[in-house]
Parts: sequence; C-alpha cells; structure tokens
Amino acid sequence: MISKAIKTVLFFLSLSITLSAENMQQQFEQAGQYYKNKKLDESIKKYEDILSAGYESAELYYNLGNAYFKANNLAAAILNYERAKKLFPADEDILFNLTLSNFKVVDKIEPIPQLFYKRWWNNMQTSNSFEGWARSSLILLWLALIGAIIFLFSITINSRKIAFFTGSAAFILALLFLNFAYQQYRLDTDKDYAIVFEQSTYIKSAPDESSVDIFVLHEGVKLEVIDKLGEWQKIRLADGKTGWVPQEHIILI
Amino acid sequence: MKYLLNILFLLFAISLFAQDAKFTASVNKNKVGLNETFKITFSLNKNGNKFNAPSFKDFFVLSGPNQSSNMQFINGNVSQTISFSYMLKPRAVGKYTIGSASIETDGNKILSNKVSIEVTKSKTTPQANQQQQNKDIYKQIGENLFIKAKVDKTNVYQGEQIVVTYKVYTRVSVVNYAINKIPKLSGFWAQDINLSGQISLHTENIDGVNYNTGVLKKTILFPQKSGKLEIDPLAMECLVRVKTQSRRKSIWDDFFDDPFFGRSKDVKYVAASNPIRINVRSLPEANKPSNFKGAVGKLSMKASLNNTETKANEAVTYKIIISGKGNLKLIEPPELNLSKDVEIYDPEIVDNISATSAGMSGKRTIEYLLIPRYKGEYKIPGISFSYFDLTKKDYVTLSTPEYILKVTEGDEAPGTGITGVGKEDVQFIGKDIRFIKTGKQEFKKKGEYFFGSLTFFILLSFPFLAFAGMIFYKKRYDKLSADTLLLKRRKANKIARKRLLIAKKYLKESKKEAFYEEISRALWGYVSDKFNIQLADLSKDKVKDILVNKKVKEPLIDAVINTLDKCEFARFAPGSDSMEMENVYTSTIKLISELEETI
Repeated sequence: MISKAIKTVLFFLSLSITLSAENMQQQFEQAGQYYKNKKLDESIKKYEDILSAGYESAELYYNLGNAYFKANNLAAAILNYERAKKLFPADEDILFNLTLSNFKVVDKIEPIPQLFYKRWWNNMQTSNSFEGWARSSLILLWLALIGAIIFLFSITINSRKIAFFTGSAAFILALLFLNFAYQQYRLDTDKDYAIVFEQSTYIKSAPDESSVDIFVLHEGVKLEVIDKLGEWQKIRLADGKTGWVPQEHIILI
Repeated sequence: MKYLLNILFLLFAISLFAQDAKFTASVNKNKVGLNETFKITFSLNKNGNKFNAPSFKDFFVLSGPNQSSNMQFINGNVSQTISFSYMLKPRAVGKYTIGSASIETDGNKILSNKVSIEVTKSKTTPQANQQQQNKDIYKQIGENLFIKAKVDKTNVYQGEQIVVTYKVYTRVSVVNYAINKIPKLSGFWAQDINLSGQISLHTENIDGVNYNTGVLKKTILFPQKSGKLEIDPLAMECLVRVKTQSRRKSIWDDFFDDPFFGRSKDVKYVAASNPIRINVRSLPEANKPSNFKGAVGKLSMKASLNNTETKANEAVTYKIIISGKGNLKLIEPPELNLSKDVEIYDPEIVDNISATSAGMSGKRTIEYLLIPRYKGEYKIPGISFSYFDLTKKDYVTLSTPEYILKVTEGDEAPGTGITGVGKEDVQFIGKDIRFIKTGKQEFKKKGEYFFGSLTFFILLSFPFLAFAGMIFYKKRYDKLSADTLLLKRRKANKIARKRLLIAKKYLKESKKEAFYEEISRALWGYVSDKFNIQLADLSKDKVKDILVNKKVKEPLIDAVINTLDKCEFARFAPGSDSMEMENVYTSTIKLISELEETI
C-alpha cells in the first residue's frame, strides 16, 4: 500500500520534471527565434527564465551571452561566455566569441607569463571541463578493469600480455584525468572570478571610500576575487595588480 | 740701421699713445648735505665697453647710468670721450668712499680712481659765489618741492598687501616733470593702481604752510619674503621756474619780479622720496595646511559644473571662482585629480580684479574643459584651497563639494581612441560574434555536478573493488584446487590401508569374494586418488602408462598388474585356500608402501 503510494508520487515527480524539461527546450527554441528576429530583450528574458528555474547548460550561457553582446551589454556578454566556457571549455564558438568580446574591453591586461611546461600543462588541464575529465577518467578506468579481467582469467599468454599493457596504460591515464578533474574542479569552485559591471570603477588601495584610487577598470574586465571585507572585495588582475572594489560593481562568474 | 731705429721709435710712440687711456671718476661736489643730490661722472677719453659701476650702497641712486659720448676733431686729431653719470643722494651722515668703476678698452680693463664724499647734516659751506647761489636755489627748492612716500601699514605678514602712495608737495611752479626712477621694489610683487591721467592738485597744510599736493603714483605691494624690506625711493626730475635774484634793489624790482618779465630761470631739480622700511613677518608654521600656496587675504571659493550629465567625448566646463580681497593674481589653478578617462585641458584664467586704494580685490575664474572619453559615472573630487586669513590671523581651508558627472554613451562607438591594438587583436576588427546554438538541449540542475556525485564515486570505486574481488577470488580458487589434490594424495594411502584392514577382516572370516574385492578396490582407489584420475577412467593399461610415466620400476609395475589380475581371477575362481589369500594381502601391503615410497 505505502510502496504503491511512493511509486505514484515518484511517477508524477518524474512526469513533472520531464514536462518542465520539454517546456525549457521550448523556451530555449523560442528565445533563439527572438534572437533571430532581433528581439533581444525578449530573447534575454527567455534565457534568463530558464536560468532562474535553476537549470543551465553551456549552450544556454553561450546564447545568452550572444544576446547580451548584440544588446551592447558587454559585461553581461562576457560573464555568460565565461560561464559557458566553464561548462564546456573546448567549444570553439564560445572561445571565439569570448575572445572577440574581450577585444572590446577597454583595459588590456597582460597576464604574467608562465614557464612553458606549466603553460602546456595548464592548457591541457583547461582544455576540458572537470565534468569532461571525470567522464573520460571513468571510461578509462573501466577499460582498465576489462584489461584486468582478461589478464587474470585468460589462458593464452598473448592475450594476457596485451591486456596487461593496455590495462595499465588506461589505468595511468585514468589517474591523470582524475587529477585534472580535481584540479579543474578546485579552480572552478574554490577560486572566485568576477566580471566588472560598472562602466568604470576605481580600484582602491583599501576597503574604504576615502582611500587612494590605485587604478581604473572598465566594464568586462575579468578579475579574481581573493578576499572580502564588508561591502568590499579584494581583487587581483591577471597581471598581478591587486586592490579593493565595491562588491556591487562586480558579478561573480 | 738708423731707419730701423726710427721705425722702432715710432712704434714706441704709438704704443705710448695707446696706453694713454684715462678713466676718471669725478663728482660735482664732495661735500653734500643730507638732503642734497650730487652727480658722479665716470669718463674715459677713448671708446670703451663693459662699463661696470661701483656699488652705491651708501647712496640712493636717483638716476643713471646716463651715458653720453662725444667726438672731437682738433687739428686733425680725433679725441673721443665716453662718460657715465649718476645722480646720487646720501642715505646718512658720514664719510664715504665710492669705489672704482671699471671699463674695458682695447681689450684692457681699466679702473677709475676712488672718490670720497663727505655727507654733512647742514648745508655745505659755499665755495664759490656762483655755487653758493645755486646751493641756495636748490635749498630753497628742496624746502618747497618734495615727494613723500606713505604706506598704509609697516608691519605686515608675508603676502599681505600694502598700498604705497607717492605724493608730491610743492610751493613752487613746476614747469615740467618726469618720474625718472621707478623704485625697484625688490622682494615685492607690485601692482600699480591706475590713476586717472593728470595729477589733480589739492591744497594741504603742513605745519602752517600750504602746499599744493598731488598723488604721483599708487602701488599695491605684496611682500614675497619675510624680514626687513625697504621700499626704495622714487625720484622725479622737475624743471622748476625760480626768480633770479637781482643785486640791486630798485623800485622796479617788485614790479618786474614776475615770471612774465623773464626775471626768472628754469632750474632742473631732482626730487626723491623718502625710503620706507617694512617689517614683514613670515606666516606662522603652526597649522599650516599642506596645500597652502601663499594666498593671503580674505577669500571665498565656489566651484560649478555646467552639466552633470553628458555624452562621451563631449566637453563640460568645470569652473572654480576664487573671490575676495588679497593677492588674487598670485593664486595658481588647483590641480584636478580626475580619472584618466577624463581629458583635462589647460585651464583658462579670467581675472576680474580691481586694484584700488583699498587694495586688490575681485575674483579669479579658473575654467577647466573636461572631456570624458567613456560612458560611466565619474567623480570630480572637491577642491580644497587654503589661505591665510588676516583678520583671524590663521589659516582657513576652503573646499568645494564633489560632483558626479554622468556620462552616457557617445555618438562614436566606445573603444575608439584605443591605441596600441595588438597583432592578435587585428584579426577581430570588423568581425562579428558567431551565431547562437540550436537543437536539443540537455539542461542540468545548477550546481549539480557529475564529478563528486554519488554515481561518480560508485562508478569510480567499482573497478577497484571489482579488481580486488577478482584477485581475491582467483587466489582462493587456486589455493582451493591445490588443496583438494594434496588432500586426495595424502588420503590415498590412508584409504588404501583402511580397505586393506577391511580385507584382513574378510580374510579372517575367510570371505574369499569380499576379500579380493576389497584388495582390488584398495589398489584401484589408491592409484585413482594418487594420480587424480576418476575410477571410471581407469584401466589396467592406463595404470601401467601412468606408472611408467611416473618412472616406477618395471618389476613393481608388473607386480601391481599381476596382483590386480590375481584379484579379478580369484574373485570368480572357485575354491582357494587361505594361504593364497594371506600371500595376496601381504604383497598388496608391500606394493602400496613401495609405491608410496617411489611416487
């Protein structure tokens, strides 16, 4: 009797989820139509509705970024491209539009150069999202398992040899990818990045309105948030400069 | 030879002549009264340059250097004179020496003689009649024509304004006048007050004597350094008409004693004002604001922005007005501390300042042209400006409010005016973003990740667990299979012995059939267990093969086969004796123990 009740509840729950998923797909397509017809405000609203329902996808962020870009809201465009990139770092369209938008940012910030092997390593790590790394790592791990089974229970020497080498290679790669996934996950979740949303904002030397202005940033600049004090955020730029900014001037990615 | 000597002599004469340059200093009198003026002349009988006057520190220089030169041809000889003259007036009673002046002629530097001057309090003793007469005239004029300098205060702060008034007092008729020495006023910043053209004369009574007075000049002075400063005198050269004194008194004198009748002459007279000492106090160091730049007086400041909202790249004007009384003209435009995105042009300064007897007052307007380059909100911070308030005798800091300039998007696209486009940026110029993505979407809950989820951990740990399980299983299986074999082998002997025991029982009971069956079972069973071969698969040939394989000796194998044959045969053969059974029993025991030893 009770189990039956639970079953029906579960059924309706799953029904409602699938319904809203269909609904979202519909909204997503509608927003795309608005975008095509240059009705940017409606398009943005539709996309934002899906987001506010608590769902996301790289394509959704990408499209929203495009709509903002067309509506001349550079900061919001960059914010959404960055969010899309976080979910799907290897997507060429996302990277292209993000680079193009960054070109329109007034401040040109030169990142501190890194040693070449560190750069390669970072490039490799950031070429996939942590979700992607996690998935590939699992696939390789299961491959290694199959190799192990063959190795243990095969009778012929040759098949055991092949299974041993492919299995251990898959296992090592799996561990590497798992490490990437973890690093990338930490990078994405522990480190907070933000985008400047004010047309121009003064970066102060201290979390205080009356302190000295160190430099000025313009909308769309990406920065790292390293500390917080009251209404003030301590930020660091890619070139290593730090300062304090009122938190309402930036939005976290 | 004689000719040569002549030439030498001539050359000597010329050189003598060349050395004949004389540079002399002379005064028109060397005994002067305190109020008198005298003239010093330095003259050179050649052409010279780089004249360098001695110091006249004990005298006021009323005029000079006045340079004159003349050239004369007398009997074919050219004589040239160059002279420099000064009009001097003593500062105090005493004996003074005027040092040498120097001049360069023909590349040589020559010094003049020194001149000593005696300054007396009273008038000098007449030396000659004519001179006496002139003295009298000068004295007379001096009593009736003088210039007085007056200041409104003598004890001031540095930067505080002083109004100095030069007034002429006269009881003689002045035909013509010219101010020929304007005070140098070192240590002051001066601003002349504009007086309306002609000097208007008034009558003023000094000690019962009426004088015609007129203001010659009014200047506002701002002391630029502290200490005792001196306003040096102003000198005026006047042409004074004086009556000539006749020797004889006649009845006509009175009648003709009139300028109209020419019984008068014009005398040049230099009138000089009195020097004034001003005590300038430096401004107090206590409470001196860091932004104090020397403004003194009573001032106020206003700032205004003509527009608080504008478009990018469109100018706004930011105006600062400083008004009041004080050294307004010395106020420098304050520095604006604005965002780098706002271009600031050099300020335009418009003065509306009047210099009157009351001092300098008015306003100075400083206008900045600001051009914001990007859209946004810009802060125009308030300006603070400090001055020394003379009434409060303290510093006052004025400040203006902060302005917020709202800049909306300009007509030009933002980003114009960016310089330094990198090589890699060029490829993006004129390009548009890529089109949106369409198609079936897989939305996932925000913040829900596969990585770190339960499914992930299960999928991650399963292969490890499975691997560990497999290893464990294989190990156990291997061990187990190894164990049963060992057990069987170890048990083979035991079982055989058990069967033999049973056989012995049958032997005692003389159950022939059962006895032989047990014996053959013991043998067959032993081989089966020992070599892990099913009983059903066994045959005598197979046993023989296995034993050969195990390298059992030929007679032993034959014995085993023989015993098995015997058992088979005896089971079905009728009538046998116990002796035979006894033999088979002992030989079987012997066989099994022998097999046990060899295998």
